[in-house]
Amino acid sequence: MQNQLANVISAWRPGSHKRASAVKRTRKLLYGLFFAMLFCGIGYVLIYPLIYIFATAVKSTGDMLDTTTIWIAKQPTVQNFPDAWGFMEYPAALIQTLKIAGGVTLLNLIFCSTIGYGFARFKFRERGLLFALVVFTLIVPPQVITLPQYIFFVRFDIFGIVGALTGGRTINFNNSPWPFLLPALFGQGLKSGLFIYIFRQFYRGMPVELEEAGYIDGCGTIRTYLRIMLPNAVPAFVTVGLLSFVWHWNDVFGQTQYLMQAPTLSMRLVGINGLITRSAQVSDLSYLVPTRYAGVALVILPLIVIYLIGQRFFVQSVERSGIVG
Amino acid sequence: MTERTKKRGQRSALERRKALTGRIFTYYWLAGFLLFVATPLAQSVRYSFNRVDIGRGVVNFIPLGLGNYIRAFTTDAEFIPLLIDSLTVILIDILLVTFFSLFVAVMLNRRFPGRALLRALFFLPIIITSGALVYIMQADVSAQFAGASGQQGMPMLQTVDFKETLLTLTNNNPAIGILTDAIDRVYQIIWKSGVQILLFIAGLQAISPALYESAELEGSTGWESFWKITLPMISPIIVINLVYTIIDSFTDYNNQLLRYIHDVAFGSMLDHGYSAALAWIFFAVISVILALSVGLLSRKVFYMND
Repeated sequence: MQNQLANVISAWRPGSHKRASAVKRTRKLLYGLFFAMLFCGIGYVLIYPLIYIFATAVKSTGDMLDTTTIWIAKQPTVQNFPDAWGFMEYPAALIQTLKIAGGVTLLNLIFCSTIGYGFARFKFRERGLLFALVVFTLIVPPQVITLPQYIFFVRFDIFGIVGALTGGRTINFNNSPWPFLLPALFGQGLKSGLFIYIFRQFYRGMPVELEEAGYIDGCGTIRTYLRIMLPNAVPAFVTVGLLSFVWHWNDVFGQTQYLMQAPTLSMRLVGINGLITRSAQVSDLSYLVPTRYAGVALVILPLIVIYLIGQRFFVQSVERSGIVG
Repeated sequence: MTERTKKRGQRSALERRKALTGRIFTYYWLAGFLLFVATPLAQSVRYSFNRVDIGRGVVNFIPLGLGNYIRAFTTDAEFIPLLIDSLTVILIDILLVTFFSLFVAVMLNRRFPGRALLRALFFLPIIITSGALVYIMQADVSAQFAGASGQQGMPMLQTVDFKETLLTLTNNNPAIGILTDAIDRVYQIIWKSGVQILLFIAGLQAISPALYESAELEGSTGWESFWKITLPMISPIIVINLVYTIIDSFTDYNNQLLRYIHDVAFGSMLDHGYSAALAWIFFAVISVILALSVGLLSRKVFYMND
């Protein structure tokens, strides 16, 4: 690096025959420096919350009160983690979250892909209109339909069939995962419209010859889809699976509607201050703050692990999934 | 986006069978749409014209006509300021997020050492910023720590002094407020741009390298290539990103207006009819913005395959 710099400077002397190439090299060096600085800055902003979460999570009460401690705890403690684990009732909440995030993601993968395939490969007159409706579901703010949907699920009864079978009673789906699973079953879950869109774009980009070969060899529509299209659509599946899982893992709005008696991790996290003050009778911020961040760390740790394992594949798959119109 | 089906007098049996299969696949979705989206939407329209009392087991409607809507614009002291705030945020977000994510995507698309690491970093926000985490972090900013730790939570970018200097320099030019607001939000902008960067990178990858090669042979500079090749080719994604950004900012858990709408319905007021009316006003305004911006942009959009 130093050598390069010296070369560049010497070449700049007036009359140097190397001057033309030196201009190029200097420009390259300056560009490199500029981008290095820019990305260091942005990278810092991106990684900052993570560092902050883990640095705060290991602080003891003494560290919080010590004005000279800013980042690195002088008396680090891991006690915050088991404490937060206990306050959040982590195992129970984790099971709830897994039920929702895992179940919905599975349904999204099965149904959004099929629906997307229907939009991508089969021509019929009202297809454009139907697809416009898919995009429309994306822009409906969930707040508009929250209450009617809530009433629908609390007194679940399709066309009076359930009532007729049980003698006038309806099913209450409150505090069960069904208000999330049922819409996902029909491609109507949280941001399912986007997933249908991604699958449609992906299938549209695949060569038609693949399917035609299948048809000629005597495969039906479903066999062709399962044997030929699916194995080639792995990148789209990874993308959608990851996004769907993460968004449901972190979702607060929908989950507070239906799961007040069966809280998930994200709900525990939003209410963690109250949980700590109520169960430990502590409202001292020097204890509250590190414990809260220990809780944050516990919730995002599984996601970070998944991301680190899947990131390379994810980034590549996004590039190849052809989300692009 | 729509492919026009060729109009012929007779359609082949295969075409008819394919249309039928397509309908089976998509009408299944339509059934769900009617059940889980269209019905609640219709009911919500009905709510907005009524006072809704939820008793034990029964829902009572007291017709108010346009009462809820009139109340929102005349007597409610909180709604209009929140609406204006939230719209300003959305408008600033659209501009900043779009420019920032396009810039970053173009940069990340170049080859340089450490690119894989940087990309992994830029997609990190998609993974960990939604709902709960952002909520906790932002609550921390405003939290006044009573302890002697002197720590102010997440120190965001502070432009207070900078702002005053600029204001005195320009004789209180109101445009400065917008500028410093934008600088204050740099942090959030970076964190909100994950999906958009992702979409742009996907778009950039789809541009054939042959276009750039031939442009270079003709003596085009990188700057010219960007304006003449990259931008037109990526213009459809700009529209998608715009739509996504608008949607993202009004489904955001931290949107103050949405919290208010939610509180009206489920908080102390328990006024579902009024809440529905507020939600519809907001939805209408957003739809207008969406339609206007997409309408304006789509004239400039270039589709390669058309």
